[in-house]
Amino acid sequence: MFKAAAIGQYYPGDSFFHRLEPRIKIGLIAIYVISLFLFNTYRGYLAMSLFTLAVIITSRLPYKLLLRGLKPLYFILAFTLVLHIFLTKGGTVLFQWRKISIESQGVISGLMMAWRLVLLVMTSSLLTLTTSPIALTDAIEGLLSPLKPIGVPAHELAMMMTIALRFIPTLLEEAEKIMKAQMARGADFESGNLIQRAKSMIPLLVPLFISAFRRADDLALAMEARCYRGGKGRTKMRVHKITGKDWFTLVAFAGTVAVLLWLKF
Amino acid sequence: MSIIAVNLTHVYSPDTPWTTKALDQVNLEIQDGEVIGLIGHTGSGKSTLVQHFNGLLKPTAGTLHVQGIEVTKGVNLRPLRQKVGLVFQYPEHQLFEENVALDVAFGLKNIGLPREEIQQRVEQALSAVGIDYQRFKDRSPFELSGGQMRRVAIAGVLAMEPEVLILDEPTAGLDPHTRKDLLEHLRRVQKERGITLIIVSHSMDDIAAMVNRILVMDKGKIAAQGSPGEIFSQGEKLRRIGLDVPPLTQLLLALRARGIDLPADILDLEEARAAIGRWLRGGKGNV
Repeated sequence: MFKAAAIGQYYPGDSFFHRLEPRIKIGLIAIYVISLFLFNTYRGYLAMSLFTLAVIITSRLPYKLLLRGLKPLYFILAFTLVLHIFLTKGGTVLFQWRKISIESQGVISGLMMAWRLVLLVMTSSLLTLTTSPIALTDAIEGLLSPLKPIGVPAHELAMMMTIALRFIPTLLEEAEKIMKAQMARGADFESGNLIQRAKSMIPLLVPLFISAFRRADDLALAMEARCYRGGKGRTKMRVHKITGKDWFTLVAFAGTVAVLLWLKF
Repeated sequence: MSIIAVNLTHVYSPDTPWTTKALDQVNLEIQDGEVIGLIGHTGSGKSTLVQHFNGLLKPTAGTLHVQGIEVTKGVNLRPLRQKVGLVFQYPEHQLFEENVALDVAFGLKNIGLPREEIQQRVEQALSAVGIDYQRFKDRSPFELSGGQMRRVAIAGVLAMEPEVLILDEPTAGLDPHTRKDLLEHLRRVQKERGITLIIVSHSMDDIAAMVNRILVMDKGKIAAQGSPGEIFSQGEKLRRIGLDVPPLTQLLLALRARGIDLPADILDLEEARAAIGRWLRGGKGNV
């Protein structure tokens, strides 16, 4: 039941994309996502797909992992496709039955929208697959810290994210354990109608919340015992430095995309 | 015969980079009414093994029969789970009801027993673990002490009246007094009801005296089995797979290593004292 929740799991490696400075990586993904919405030609899409493919191949990620990340998206993909096929008009009529018609433009835009979504999710998951959670939150803190003077709690946000990420697997494990324990007492989580099923979650959720609060308490205590007092004056064990190579990658990618867009490629 | 496993194998997350073989061709037989101690260090596969016994996990390969039911993919879990009660590590973490009586009754309601029988069984189960029904039935399980919570959680499984009762580290985190008391209650329940009792642990000191047979697990296999005396007298082998023998056995083994001829399979302190006394009095000749 909880196996599908493996989206965005870090997959260690030593590829070019793995080694990029995380802040630059976030920048790259941001440029990618924005330009994905600016392109609206086949060739543009092809270019973007090639970028993604290149990263997937060079970082030696298992394809299964990427496909599994798409699983929660299946419904939305089908929905987008169906909506476009029936509602977007134009081009030649492919199918006609009473008032319902499918026209070629609808099929094309449906497929393109669906492909856009696939690229979007796949490429964003590349970020979390190739960057350790710690490096990622460090990067977010780094990107947010210029906003500190106007009251953005950059460090606190990053710390909250780190802790949340750290505890996702722990809580999943805990949930599975409690579920098994209740199943051993004859609990049934799978059958019944919606209301019965919601009710059957109580024996799972109450112990889960209690243990989450207990863990939070313990963690807060443990952090205080090690003199944690928030972001001020706190140094880092690992300092990420943006090198010339990182800058070059960012500029080269942004440049390529800009030129392609300018050429209406 | 209560439990028979033939070449039982279990693989976690097959076909992924995280695949692990938790059980590797395990063969075992457990008779009705036996008291079994299952020991092994963390990750040896003992928890995986016992989760097969009530169908929470299914064998990847090999066969397993529990109380005459074959545990396979399509098995009807309801009768199996009623026959086999499994108490997990730190069972107090599964408590959730408003009061103690309701929490113990949770499993009974799930199997749809009539109200009077539920109440009767709850009373029995609580008294079997040494909790006074009248005093505790209306109290919130979250106000209890750690030891009391543990007893209430165990009572929740006992109330189902299983034929096989499995406890995973039942005494972990309890103080020595509560530990001893809880084990005494469990032993009494086992004797009165004649059930099969399996206690999983990574240290066996406290239950060495109460089990008939010990199964030692290592790397997903049964590494050794026999009576507690037989098992503990193989101190060196146990240490090699990361387990310790009880302090008393350590002493006897150390004495034997110095050439003093004492039996290594004594588990009772009094008996050991008598044996050492005998050696001291007359026994120089025995050396």
